[in-house]
Amino acid sequence: MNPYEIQNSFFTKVIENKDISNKRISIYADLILFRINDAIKSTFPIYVSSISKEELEKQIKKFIIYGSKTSYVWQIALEFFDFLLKIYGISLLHKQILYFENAQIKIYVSNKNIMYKKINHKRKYTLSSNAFIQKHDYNITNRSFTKSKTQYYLVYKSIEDYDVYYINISKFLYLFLKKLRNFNTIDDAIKLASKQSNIKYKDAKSISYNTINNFVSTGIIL
Amino acid sequence: MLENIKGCGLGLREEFIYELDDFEIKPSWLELVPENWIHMPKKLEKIFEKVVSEYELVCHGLSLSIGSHEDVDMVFLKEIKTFLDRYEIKHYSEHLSYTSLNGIKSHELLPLPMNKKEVNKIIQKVQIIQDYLQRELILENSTYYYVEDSTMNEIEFINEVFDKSGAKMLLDINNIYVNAHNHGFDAYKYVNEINLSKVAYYHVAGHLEYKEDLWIDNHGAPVKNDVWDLTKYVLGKKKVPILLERDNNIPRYKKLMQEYTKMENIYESI
Repeated sequence: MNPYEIQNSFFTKVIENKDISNKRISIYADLILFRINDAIKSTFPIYVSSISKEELEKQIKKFIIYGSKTSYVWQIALEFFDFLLKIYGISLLHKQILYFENAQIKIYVSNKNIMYKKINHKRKYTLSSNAFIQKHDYNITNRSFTKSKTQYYLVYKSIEDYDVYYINISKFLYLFLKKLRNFNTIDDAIKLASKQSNIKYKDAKSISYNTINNFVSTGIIL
Repeated sequence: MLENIKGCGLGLREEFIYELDDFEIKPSWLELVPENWIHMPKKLEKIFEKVVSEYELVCHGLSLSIGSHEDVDMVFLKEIKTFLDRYEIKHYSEHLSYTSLNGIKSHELLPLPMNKKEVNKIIQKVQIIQDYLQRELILENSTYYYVEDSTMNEIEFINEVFDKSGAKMLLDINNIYVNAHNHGFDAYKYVNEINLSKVAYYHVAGHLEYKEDLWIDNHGAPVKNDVWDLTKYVLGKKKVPILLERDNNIPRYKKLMQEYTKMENIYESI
Protein backbone atom coordinates (compact mmCIF):
# COMPACT_ATOMS: atom_id res chain seq x y z
CA MET A 1 0.00 0.00 0.00
CA ASN A 2 1.21 3.54 -0.70
CA PRO A 3 1.20 6.19 2.10
CA TYR A 4 -2.23 7.52 1.07
CA GLU A 5 -3.75 4.04 1.09
CA ILE A 6 -2.28 3.33 4.54
CA GLN A 7 -3.70 6.58 5.91
CA ASN A 8 -7.02 6.03 4.19
CA SER A 9 -7.30 2.52 5.60
CA PHE A 10 -6.70 3.75 9.17
CA PHE A 11 -9.00 6.74 8.73
CA THR A 12 -11.81 4.55 7.35
CA LYS A 13 -11.46 2.13 10.27
CA VAL A 14 -11.77 4.82 12.94
CA ILE A 15 -14.59 6.61 11.12
CA GLU A 16 -16.62 3.45 10.42
CA ASN A 17 -15.92 2.14 13.93
CA LYS A 18 -16.72 -1.51 13.40
CA ASP A 19 -14.84 -4.75 13.87
CA ILE A 20 -11.77 -3.03 15.28
CA SER A 21 -9.96 -5.69 17.24
CA ASN A 22 -6.95 -3.54 18.14
CA LYS A 23 -7.88 -1.46 21.20
CA ARG A 24 -5.24 1.15 20.30
CA ILE A 25 -7.09 1.78 17.05
CA SER A 26 -10.55 1.50 18.58
CA ILE A 27 -9.68 4.21 21.12
CA TYR A 28 -9.56 6.68 18.23
CA ALA A 29 -13.06 5.63 17.13
CA ASP A 30 -14.23 6.09 20.74
CA LEU A 31 -12.62 9.54 20.99
CA ILE A 32 -14.27 10.69 17.76
CA LEU A 33 -17.63 9.41 18.99
CA PHE A 34 -17.12 11.14 22.35
CA ARG A 35 -16.24 14.48 20.73
CA ILE A 36 -19.21 14.49 18.35
CA ASN A 37 -21.54 13.30 21.10
CA ASP A 38 -20.34 16.13 23.33
CA ALA A 39 -20.94 18.75 20.62
CA ILE A 40 -24.46 17.50 19.96
CA LYS A 41 -25.41 17.13 23.62
CA SER A 42 -24.41 20.71 24.38
CA THR A 43 -26.19 22.14 21.31
CA PHE A 44 -29.41 20.10 21.26
CA PRO A 45 -30.17 19.28 24.92
CA ILE A 46 -33.93 18.91 24.41
CA TYR A 47 -33.50 16.65 21.40
CA VAL A 48 -30.97 14.49 23.26
CA SER A 49 -33.39 14.16 26.18
CA SER A 50 -36.15 13.02 23.82
CA ILE A 51 -34.38 9.92 22.49
CA SER A 52 -32.65 6.94 24.06
CA LYS A 53 -28.89 6.86 24.56
CA GLU A 54 -28.70 3.91 22.18
CA GLU A 55 -30.63 5.69 19.42
CA LEU A 56 -28.48 8.81 19.82
CA GLU A 57 -25.32 6.74 19.53
CA LYS A 58 -26.68 4.98 16.45
CA GLN A 59 -27.48 8.33 14.81
CA ILE A 60 -24.09 9.81 15.68
CA LYS A 61 -22.21 6.77 14.38
CA LYS A 62 -24.09 7.01 11.06
CA PHE A 63 -23.44 10.77 10.94
CA ILE A 64 -19.70 10.21 11.46
CA ILE A 65 -19.66 7.78 8.53
CA TYR A 66 -21.72 10.22 6.44
CA GLY A 67 -18.95 12.72 7.18
CA SER A 68 -18.55 16.01 8.95
CA LYS A 69 -17.20 18.66 6.56
CA THR A 70 -16.70 21.57 8.93
CA SER A 71 -13.46 22.63 10.60
CA TYR A 72 -15.43 24.19 13.45
CA VAL A 73 -16.71 22.12 16.37
CA TRP A 74 -19.71 24.42 16.98
CA GLN A 75 -20.95 23.70 13.44
CA ILE A 76 -20.99 19.92 13.94
CA ALA A 77 -24.48 20.00 15.45
CA LEU A 78 -25.79 22.03 12.52
CA GLU A 79 -24.40 19.41 10.12
CA PHE A 80 -25.99 16.71 12.29
CA PHE A 81 -29.34 18.54 12.02
CA ASP A 82 -29.11 18.52 8.21
CA PHE A 83 -28.06 14.88 8.21
CA LEU A 84 -31.03 13.81 10.35
CA LEU A 85 -33.50 15.77 8.26
CA LYS A 86 -32.20 14.97 4.79
CA ILE A 87 -30.56 11.57 5.11
CA TYR A 88 -31.49 9.73 8.30
CA GLY A 89 -35.18 10.52 8.58
CA ILE A 90 -36.81 11.34 11.91
CA SER A 91 -40.31 11.76 13.35
CA LEU A 92 -42.37 14.96 13.34
CA LEU A 93 -41.72 15.41 17.06
CA HIS A 94 -37.97 15.23 16.60
CA LYS A 95 -38.06 17.50 13.57
CA GLN A 96 -39.95 20.11 15.55
CA ILE A 97 -37.55 19.92 18.49
CA LEU A 98 -34.55 20.24 16.19
CA TYR A 99 -36.06 23.17 14.28
CA PHE A 100 -36.59 24.88 17.63
CA GLU A 101 -33.06 24.27 18.95
CA ASN A 102 -31.39 24.88 15.60
CA ALA A 103 -33.12 28.26 15.28
CA GLN A 104 -31.57 29.35 18.56
CA ILE A 105 -28.05 28.43 17.42
CA LYS A 106 -28.52 30.11 14.03
CA ILE A 107 -29.54 33.37 15.68
CA TYR A 108 -26.90 33.11 18.39
CA VAL A 109 -24.01 32.90 15.93
CA SER A 110 -25.49 35.34 13.41
CA ASN A 111 -23.40 38.47 13.06
CA LYS A 112 -26.23 40.55 11.69
CA ASN A 113 -26.70 43.78 13.58
CA ILE A 114 -29.88 44.31 15.51
CA MET A 115 -31.50 47.54 14.33
CA TYR A 116 -34.62 49.27 15.49
CA LYS A 117 -36.63 52.40 14.80
CA LYS A 118 -39.52 54.25 16.37
CA ILE A 119 -42.86 52.57 15.73
CA ASN A 120 -44.84 53.81 12.73
CA HIS A 121 -48.12 52.02 12.06
CA LYS A 122 -48.16 53.07 8.44
CA ARG A 123 -44.64 51.90 7.60
CA LYS A 124 -43.97 48.42 6.18
CA TYR A 125 -42.23 46.08 8.60
CA THR A 126 -40.78 42.61 8.51
CA LEU A 127 -39.50 40.05 11.01
CA SER A 128 -35.81 40.55 11.80
CA SER A 129 -33.34 37.90 10.64
CA ASN A 130 -32.39 37.73 14.32
CA ALA A 131 -35.80 36.23 15.11
CA PHE A 132 -37.81 33.16 14.18
CA ILE A 133 -41.45 32.26 14.74
CA GLN A 134 -42.36 28.60 15.02
CA LYS A 135 -45.53 26.57 15.47
CA HIS A 136 -45.27 23.17 17.16
CA ASP A 137 -47.59 20.29 18.00
CA TYR A 138 -45.64 19.60 21.19
CA ASN A 139 -44.80 21.60 24.27
CA ILE A 140 -41.11 21.41 23.49
CA THR A 141 -39.88 23.82 26.14
CA ASN A 142 -41.55 21.74 28.86
CA ARG A 143 -39.97 18.65 27.33
CA SER A 144 -43.40 17.17 26.89
CA PHE A 145 -43.14 14.77 23.99
CA THR A 146 -46.78 13.83 23.52
CA LYS A 147 -48.99 15.82 21.18
CA SER A 148 -50.57 18.78 22.90
CA LYS A 149 -52.34 22.02 22.12
CA THR A 150 -50.49 23.91 19.36
CA GLN A 151 -47.65 25.95 20.77
CA TYR A 152 -46.44 29.20 19.18
CA TYR A 153 -42.91 30.40 19.85
CA LEU A 154 -40.89 33.50 19.15
CA VAL A 155 -37.13 32.90 19.25
CA TYR A 156 -35.05 36.09 19.18
CA LYS A 157 -31.68 37.61 19.98
CA SER A 158 -31.74 40.22 22.72
CA ILE A 159 -30.59 43.72 21.97
CA GLU A 160 -29.33 43.97 25.56
CA ASP A 161 -26.93 41.04 25.88
CA TYR A 162 -26.93 39.38 22.43
CA ASP A 163 -28.15 36.17 24.02
CA VAL A 164 -30.96 34.13 22.48
CA TYR A 165 -34.33 33.82 24.20
CA TYR A 166 -37.68 32.26 23.38
CA ILE A 167 -41.18 33.11 24.50
CA ASN A 168 -44.53 31.44 24.05
CA ILE A 169 -46.76 33.77 22.05
CA SER A 170 -50.45 33.75 21.22
CA LYS A 171 -51.81 32.47 17.95
CA PHE A 172 -52.71 36.06 17.05
CA LEU A 173 -49.13 37.31 17.57
CA TYR A 174 -47.77 34.34 15.63
CA LEU A 175 -50.06 35.17 12.70
CA PHE A 176 -49.28 38.88 13.02
CA LEU A 177 -45.51 38.21 12.80
CA LYS A 178 -46.10 35.76 9.96
CA LYS A 179 -48.04 38.37 8.00
CA LEU A 180 -45.20 40.84 8.57
CA ARG A 181 -42.84 38.50 6.77
CA ASN A 182 -44.55 39.73 3.58
CA PHE A 183 -43.64 43.35 4.37
CA ASN A 184 -47.06 44.53 5.48
CA THR A 185 -47.72 47.60 7.57
CA ILE A 186 -48.40 46.92 11.23
CA ASP A 187 -52.06 47.85 10.75
CA ASP A 188 -52.45 45.58 7.73
CA ALA A 189 -50.80 42.69 9.56
CA ILE A 190 -53.09 43.23 12.58
CA LYS A 191 -56.11 43.21 10.25
CA LEU A 192 -55.06 39.99 8.53
CA ALA A 193 -54.05 38.24 11.75
CA SER A 194 -57.18 39.29 13.66
CA LYS A 195 -59.39 38.03 10.84
CA GLN A 196 -57.69 34.63 10.91
CA SER A 197 -57.82 34.50 14.72
CA ASN A 198 -61.47 35.59 14.89
CA ILE A 199 -60.63 38.65 16.98
CA LYS A 200 -62.08 42.07 16.30
CA TYR A 201 -59.51 44.36 14.68
CA LYS A 202 -60.00 47.13 17.26
CA ASP A 203 -59.61 44.71 20.16
CA ALA A 204 -56.55 43.12 18.60
CA LYS A 205 -54.94 46.50 18.02
CA SER A 206 -55.57 47.67 21.54
CA ILE A 207 -54.50 44.43 23.26
CA SER A 208 -51.34 44.02 21.23
CA TYR A 209 -50.25 47.68 21.18
CA ASN A 210 -47.61 47.40 23.95
CA THR A 211 -46.27 44.06 22.75
CA ILE A 212 -45.88 45.24 19.16
CA ASN A 213 -44.30 48.45 20.36
CA ASN A 214 -41.85 46.32 22.29
CA PHE A 215 -41.12 44.17 19.21
CA VAL A 216 -40.20 47.35 17.31
CA SER A 217 -38.09 48.87 20.09
CA THR A 218 -36.11 45.63 20.55
CA GLY A 219 -35.50 45.08 16.85
CA ILE A 220 -37.61 41.93 16.58
CA ILE A 221 -39.53 43.57 13.77
CA LEU A 222 -37.83 46.05 11.48
CA MET B 1 12.12 33.03 21.49
CA LEU B 2 8.52 34.12 20.94
CA GLU B 3 8.17 37.89 20.64
CA ASN B 4 6.28 39.34 23.64
CA ILE B 5 5.46 35.91 25.10
CA LYS B 6 7.15 35.48 28.45
CA GLY B 7 6.72 33.33 31.54
CA CYS B 8 3.54 31.37 32.24
CA GLY B 9 0.36 31.30 30.19
CA LEU B 10 -3.09 29.81 30.34
CA GLY B 11 -5.34 28.30 27.67
CA LEU B 12 -8.28 30.69 27.31
CA ARG B 13 -11.73 29.08 27.45
CA GLU B 14 -15.14 30.63 27.06
CA GLU B 15 -16.08 29.05 30.39
CA PHE B 16 -13.97 31.57 32.33
CA ILE B 17 -13.41 34.48 29.97
CA TYR B 18 -15.55 36.75 32.18
CA GLU B 19 -13.59 35.77 35.31
CA LEU B 20 -10.10 36.77 34.20
CA ASP B 21 -10.32 40.05 36.12
CA ASP B 22 -11.76 38.47 39.27
CA PHE B 23 -8.55 36.94 40.54
CA GLU B 24 -5.52 38.88 41.76
CA ILE B 25 -3.04 36.72 39.86
CA LYS B 26 -3.33 37.02 36.11
CA PRO B 27 -1.75 34.80 33.47
CA SER B 28 1.18 36.48 31.73
CA TRP B 29 -0.24 35.46 28.36
CA LEU B 30 -3.08 33.44 26.90
CA GLU B 31 -3.44 30.81 24.24
CA LEU B 32 -6.70 30.40 22.34
CA VAL B 33 -8.10 27.98 19.82
CA PRO B 34 -8.88 30.11 16.75
CA GLU B 35 -11.55 27.67 15.51
CA ASN B 36 -13.55 28.47 18.66
CA TRP B 37 -13.43 32.23 18.10
CA ILE B 38 -13.42 32.81 14.33
CA HIS B 39 -17.23 32.75 14.18
CA MET B 40 -17.74 34.03 17.68
CA PRO B 41 -21.26 35.18 18.50
CA LYS B 42 -21.90 38.88 19.01
CA LYS B 43 -22.38 38.21 22.71
CA LEU B 44 -18.68 37.39 23.13
CA GLU B 45 -17.18 40.05 20.86
CA LYS B 46 -16.88 42.77 23.48
CA ILE B 47 -15.20 40.63 26.15
CA PHE B 48 -12.98 38.99 23.52
CA GLU B 49 -11.78 42.35 22.27
CA LYS B 50 -11.04 43.41 25.85
CA VAL B 51 -8.97 40.27 26.37
CA VAL B 52 -7.11 40.84 23.10
CA SER B 53 -6.28 44.39 24.18
CA GLU B 54 -5.00 43.29 27.60
CA TYR B 55 -3.07 40.06 26.97
CA GLU B 56 -0.37 38.77 24.68
CA LEU B 57 -1.84 35.88 22.70
CA VAL B 58 -0.84 32.72 20.88
CA CYS B 59 -3.31 30.92 18.62
CA HIS B 60 -3.32 27.15 18.95
CA GLY B 61 -5.25 25.49 16.14
CA LEU B 62 -6.86 22.10 15.84
CA SER B 63 -8.04 21.64 12.25
CA LEU B 64 -5.03 22.39 10.05
CA SER B 65 -4.43 18.65 9.54
CA ILE B 66 -0.88 19.12 8.33
CA GLY B 67 -0.23 15.38 8.17
CA SER B 68 -3.11 14.35 5.94
CA HIS B 69 -2.62 13.14 2.39
CA GLU B 70 -4.56 15.99 0.90
CA ASP B 71 -3.65 19.53 -0.04
CA VAL B 72 -3.58 22.28 2.57
CA ASP B 73 -7.12 23.62 2.91
CA MET B 74 -6.49 27.15 1.67
CA VAL B 75 -10.05 28.31 2.42
CA PHE B 76 -9.58 27.35 6.04
CA LEU B 77 -6.07 28.81 6.11
CA LYS B 78 -7.44 32.10 4.78
CA GLU B 79 -9.93 32.20 7.67
CA ILE B 80 -7.08 31.59 10.11
CA LYS B 81 -4.94 34.33 8.55
CA THR B 82 -7.82 36.81 8.54
CA PHE B 83 -8.40 36.14 12.23
CA LEU B 84 -4.69 36.39 13.15
CA ASP B 85 -4.32 39.62 11.17
CA ARG B 86 -7.50 41.17 12.50
CA TYR B 87 -6.42 40.72 16.12
CA GLU B 88 -2.71 41.21 15.36
CA ILE B 89 -1.79 37.82 16.80
CA LYS B 90 1.77 37.00 15.79
CA HIS B 91 2.05 33.38 16.86
CA TYR B 92 0.23 30.34 15.53
CA SER B 93 0.78 26.77 16.70
CA GLU B 94 -0.77 23.51 15.54
CA HIS B 95 -0.33 19.76 15.90
CA LEU B 96 2.01 17.29 14.28
CA SER B 97 -0.88 15.00 13.33
CA TYR B 98 -3.87 14.99 11.00
CA THR B 99 -7.60 15.33 11.55
CA SER B 100 -9.17 15.02 8.10
CA LEU B 101 -8.97 13.02 4.92
CA ASN B 102 -10.90 13.12 1.65
CA GLY B 103 -12.68 16.24 2.88
CA ILE B 104 -14.09 14.43 5.94
CA LYS B 105 -13.22 15.81 9.38
CA SER B 106 -12.68 13.44 12.28
CA HIS B 107 -12.31 16.26 14.84
CA GLU B 108 -9.64 14.15 16.53
CA LEU B 109 -5.84 14.27 16.33
CA LEU B 110 -4.84 11.14 14.43
CA PRO B 111 -1.37 9.55 14.39
CA LEU B 112 1.21 10.02 11.65
CA PRO B 113 3.50 7.30 10.35
CA MET B 114 7.05 8.13 11.33
CA ASN B 115 9.09 7.78 8.15
CA LYS B 116 11.07 9.87 5.65
CA LYS B 117 8.14 10.29 3.26
CA GLU B 118 6.07 11.78 6.05
CA VAL B 119 8.90 14.11 7.02
CA ASN B 120 9.16 15.36 3.42
CA LYS B 121 5.42 15.89 3.18
CA ILE B 122 5.42 17.91 6.41
CA ILE B 123 8.37 20.02 5.21
CA GLN B 124 6.51 20.96 2.00
CA LYS B 125 3.33 21.84 3.85
CA VAL B 126 5.13 23.90 6.51
CA GLN B 127 6.60 25.99 3.69
CA ILE B 128 3.19 26.57 2.07
CA ILE B 129 1.56 27.46 5.40
CA GLN B 130 4.34 29.78 6.58
CA ASP B 131 4.47 31.57 3.22
CA TYR B 132 0.73 32.14 3.27
CA LEU B 133 0.37 33.11 6.92
CA GLN B 134 3.52 35.22 6.89
CA ARG B 135 4.29 33.76 10.28
CA GLU B 136 6.46 30.98 11.61
CA LEU B 137 4.49 27.81 12.20
CA ILE B 138 4.87 26.16 15.61
CA LEU B 139 4.07 22.44 15.75
CA GLU B 140 3.26 20.34 18.80
CA ASN B 141 4.43 16.80 19.47
CA SER B 142 1.10 14.97 19.66
CA THR B 143 0.07 11.96 21.65
CA TYR B 144 -0.44 8.81 19.63
CA TYR B 145 -1.89 5.51 20.73
CA TYR B 146 -1.14 3.57 17.58
CA VAL B 147 1.30 4.06 14.76
CA GLU B 148 1.87 2.13 11.56
CA ASP B 149 4.20 2.22 8.58
CA SER B 150 6.99 3.68 10.71
CA THR B 151 10.69 3.29 10.07
CA MET B 152 11.83 5.90 12.59
CA ASN B 153 11.33 6.25 16.32
CA GLU B 154 9.58 9.34 17.63
CA ILE B 155 12.79 11.18 18.53
CA GLU B 156 14.30 10.63 15.08
CA PHE B 157 11.05 11.71 13.44
CA ILE B 158 10.59 14.84 15.56
CA ASN B 159 14.22 15.92 15.25
CA GLU B 160 14.19 15.49 11.48
CA VAL B 161 10.89 17.35 11.03
CA PHE B 162 12.12 20.34 13.03
CA ASP B 163 15.67 20.31 11.66
CA LYS B 164 14.45 20.40 8.07
CA SER B 165 11.09 22.16 8.04
CA GLY B 166 11.91 25.48 9.66
CA ALA B 167 8.94 25.11 11.99
CA LYS B 168 9.34 25.88 15.67
CA MET B 169 8.41 23.29 18.27
CA LEU B 170 5.69 23.39 20.89
CA LEU B 171 6.83 20.67 23.26
CA ASP B 172 3.94 19.20 25.23
CA ILE B 173 5.45 17.73 28.37
CA ASN B 174 2.36 15.73 29.27
CA ASN B 175 2.36 14.22 25.77
CA ILE B 176 5.95 13.04 26.28
CA TYR B 177 4.90 11.45 29.56
CA VAL B 178 1.78 9.77 28.12
CA ASN B 179 3.60 8.56 24.98
CA ALA B 180 6.47 7.23 27.09
CA HIS B 181 4.03 5.19 29.17
CA ASN B 182 1.99 3.94 26.21
CA HIS B 183 4.97 3.04 24.03
CA GLY B 184 7.45 1.98 26.70
CA PHE B 185 10.21 4.53 26.43
CA ASP B 186 11.95 6.71 29.01
CA ALA B 187 10.52 10.24 29.10
CA TYR B 188 13.75 11.71 30.52
CA LYS B 189 15.87 10.03 27.85
CA TYR B 190 13.47 11.49 25.27
CA VAL B 191 14.03 14.98 26.67
CA ASN B 192 17.80 14.44 26.57
CA GLU B 193 17.72 13.38 22.95
CA ILE B 194 15.16 15.76 21.48
CA ASN B 195 16.59 18.88 19.83
CA LEU B 196 15.43 21.49 22.34
CA SER B 197 16.94 24.36 20.35
CA LYS B 198 13.77 24.40 18.25
CA VAL B 199 11.38 24.71 21.21
CA ALA B 200 9.34 27.91 21.32
CA TYR B 201 7.17 27.08 24.31
CA TYR B 202 5.85 24.21 26.43
CA HIS B 203 2.45 22.82 27.27
CA VAL B 204 1.47 20.99 30.43
CA ALA B 205 -1.88 19.33 30.97
CA GLY B 206 -3.62 16.49 32.76
CA HIS B 207 -4.31 13.05 31.37
CA LEU B 208 -6.53 10.05 32.03
CA GLU B 209 -5.02 6.76 33.14
CA TYR B 210 -7.69 4.92 31.18
CA LYS B 211 -6.23 1.41 31.31
CA GLU B 212 -3.00 0.10 32.75
CA ASP B 213 -1.32 0.10 29.37
CA LEU B 214 -3.27 2.93 27.76
CA TRP B 215 -3.31 6.48 29.06
CA ILE B 216 -5.29 9.15 27.25
CA ASP B 217 -4.29 12.77 26.81
CA ASN B 218 -7.70 14.21 27.70
CA HIS B 219 -6.83 17.59 29.26
CA GLY B 220 -9.59 16.86 31.71
CA ALA B 221 -7.80 16.53 35.05
CA PRO B 222 -5.11 18.29 37.09
CA VAL B 223 -1.50 17.80 36.02
CA LYS B 224 0.01 14.70 37.67
CA ASN B 225 2.96 15.09 40.04
CA ASP B 226 5.17 12.97 37.78
CA VAL B 227 4.45 15.40 34.94
CA TRP B 228 5.38 18.34 37.19
CA ASP B 229 8.66 16.55 37.97
CA LEU B 230 9.33 16.10 34.27
CA THR B 231 8.42 19.76 33.75
CA LYS B 232 11.11 20.84 36.25
CA TYR B 233 13.62 18.70 34.39
CA VAL B 234 12.64 20.09 30.97
CA LEU B 235 12.69 23.70 32.18
CA GLY B 236 16.13 23.04 33.66
CA LYS B 237 17.34 22.00 30.21
CA LYS B 238 15.74 24.96 28.45
CA LYS B 239 13.66 27.72 29.98
CA VAL B 240 11.05 29.04 27.57
CA PRO B 241 7.42 30.11 28.19
CA ILE B 242 5.05 27.44 29.46
CA LEU B 243 1.29 27.11 29.31
CA LEU B 244 -1.32 25.21 31.30
CA GLU B 245 -4.04 23.60 29.14
CA ARG B 246 -7.44 22.47 30.36
CA ASP B 247 -10.16 21.56 27.86
CA ASN B 248 -12.49 19.15 29.67
CA ASN B 249 -14.02 19.08 33.15
CA ILE B 250 -12.95 22.70 33.44
CA PRO B 251 -12.97 23.71 37.14
CA ARG B 252 -13.88 27.12 38.50
CA TYR B 253 -11.36 29.72 37.44
CA LYS B 254 -10.08 30.19 40.99
CA LYS B 255 -9.26 26.49 41.23
CA LEU B 256 -7.58 26.50 37.82
CA MET B 257 -5.48 29.47 38.91
CA GLN B 258 -4.24 27.45 41.88
CA GLU B 259 -2.76 25.02 39.41
CA TYR B 260 -1.45 27.92 37.32
CA THR B 261 0.24 29.29 40.46
CA LYS B 262 1.89 25.92 41.05
CA MET B 263 3.26 26.06 37.49
CA GLU B 264 4.44 29.63 38.01
CA ASN B 265 6.25 28.66 41.22
CA ILE B 266 8.04 25.85 39.41
CA TYR B 267 8.91 28.18 36.55
CA GLU B 268 10.26 30.85 38.85
CA SER B 269 12.31 28.32 40.85
CA ILE B 270 14.35 27.28 37.82
